[in-house]
Amino acid sequence: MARVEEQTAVRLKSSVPIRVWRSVRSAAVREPTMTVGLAILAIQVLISLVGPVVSSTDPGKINMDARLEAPSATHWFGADEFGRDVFSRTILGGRISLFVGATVALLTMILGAAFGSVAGYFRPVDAVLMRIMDGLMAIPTVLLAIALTVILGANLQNVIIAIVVVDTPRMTRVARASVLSLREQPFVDAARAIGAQNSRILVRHVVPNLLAPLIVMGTYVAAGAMLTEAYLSFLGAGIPADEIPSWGNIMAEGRRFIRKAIWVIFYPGLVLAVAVTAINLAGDGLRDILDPKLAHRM
Amino acid sequence: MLPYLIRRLLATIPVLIVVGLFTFFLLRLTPGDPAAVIAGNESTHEEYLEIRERLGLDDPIYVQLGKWSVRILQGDFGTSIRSGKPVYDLIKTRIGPSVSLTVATEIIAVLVAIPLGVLAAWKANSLVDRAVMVFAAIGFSIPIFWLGFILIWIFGLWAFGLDNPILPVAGYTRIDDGLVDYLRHLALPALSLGLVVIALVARMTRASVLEVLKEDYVRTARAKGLTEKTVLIRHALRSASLPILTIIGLGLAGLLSGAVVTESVFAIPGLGRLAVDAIATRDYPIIQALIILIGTFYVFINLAVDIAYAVLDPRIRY
Repeated sequence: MARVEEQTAVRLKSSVPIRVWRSVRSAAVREPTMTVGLAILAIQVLISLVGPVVSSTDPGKINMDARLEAPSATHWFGADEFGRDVFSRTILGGRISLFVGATVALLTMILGAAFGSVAGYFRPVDAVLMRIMDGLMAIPTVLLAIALTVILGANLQNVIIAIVVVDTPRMTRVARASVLSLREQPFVDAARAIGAQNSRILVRHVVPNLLAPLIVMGTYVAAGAMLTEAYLSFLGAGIPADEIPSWGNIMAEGRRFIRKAIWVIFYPGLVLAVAVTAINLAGDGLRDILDPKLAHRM
Repeated sequence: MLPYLIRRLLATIPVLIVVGLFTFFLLRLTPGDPAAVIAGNESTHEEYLEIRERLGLDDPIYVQLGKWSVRILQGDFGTSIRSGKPVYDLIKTRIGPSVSLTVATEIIAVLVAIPLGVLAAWKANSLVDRAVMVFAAIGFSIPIFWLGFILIWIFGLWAFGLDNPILPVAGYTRIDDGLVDYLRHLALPALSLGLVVIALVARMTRASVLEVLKEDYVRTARAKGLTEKTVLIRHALRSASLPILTIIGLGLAGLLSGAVVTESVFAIPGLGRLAVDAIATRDYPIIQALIILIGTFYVFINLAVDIAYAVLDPRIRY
């Protein structure tokens, strides 16, 4: 008897990863655009992580002889105003841009879940909190973000804070809408009937169900945050280029030379556009899989 | 209808108050001394004291808020710290270019996006549909200023030579100085700003039309022997117009954000350019006024969209 149980336990244990793998595989087949998006993104993440380590070209090395040199075998993406290699700077810049996207998505998801569940669950707080969110949403995102970075000081941390402030209201709205429908579900009634307290219902029953819509929204926020980072840099309120290159600040420096050297702005922008497209495609696919109702509405 | 209108109108007040409070506290919650931030590193002590005095920073915060609110409600946005000119006058001269750019962009976007969206919905899941959707996904993802520079490069430099650009690549002319010249100057900025809106409106149109095409009355219309064109335009697009209108309305407000970037690329002397310059020189009264004005505009666009909904669809009023 014990042997049978053991065998069953072994079989169950081994079948879990297989089940997960099967569902991932079927999702990948069902949503080919998502698969393509995720694959492109994975390649970009990998290149930006590994590239700077294995590359022999120093992205910060100034070489005035190569100033604004056109793309060639030595400088694949050409050289910038200081003769620095645009290709290796673009690879290194990917770290910052992708980091900004991921961090902003994660932070807004946490804040959105917190504000959204409180607003959706405690009606008196709802009115006040959502009016604050509406007010923030009324201010144009780029304007709000540059105002914040200029006041806080332009560095990586403050750029992230500014974009989080700008994007949290959207996330909160999505979370709140989901909480409003979740709180009417029978399993919440059931939890209440057996005497669970509000805090327990929220944490154990409501928040886990928010994950799907928040992940979907998180991909769009990540994509938007990477663009906003570029806009901030372009308008002179982003991460300073002398500290670390980002896709945004490489382009911001290149803008003065578009007549002579379009490549300084062309390639980082192209890479950024590809990354953002990949994330958006992945988001569309995830939405169709995780949140069919949302797919219907969009 | 009237109770709904009143309720909806009253609901704008708290939002406007939040926008106002936010702009007020934005400066005062800065780490450190706001007057020092505005004055910058190269200022003298006298300049610093003068800015403190002008902003009324020596009063208790509630007195500051009281005085400030009264002035804003009277439409007095103060004077620019850098130029000394009234903020109202500075803004007035910059509205024209921004409105022109925004309207031109919307027109281009709607003309391109709605046919694309209807086509994609009609040929759902076909190659055409996929192409439109991929185009829309890319449209969302291209940095506006990058597209602007590429357009400048193509039209101004590479294809047609620097001396004879086929379209002007910078600046703005007023409509009084000739309609053709005015439109030529707007073409490239509107195109680069418009791609995002095209993507947005095309997606929304596709989704809404797709929804409507499943309805029974569309099947009936087809069964009556109406041509596909009539079915699509008279029956499907018409019923699908509500969500499309919303996106266009909200797009109008969102465009102002994009205009900040586009105006910088094409050297258009509009509100966005004014904002960027004001932020660079920490000219706080201008920044405050712009945030309040654009925020108010956004709130009222939202209001207009909601009222349009209520007029077109009586179910919403309750």
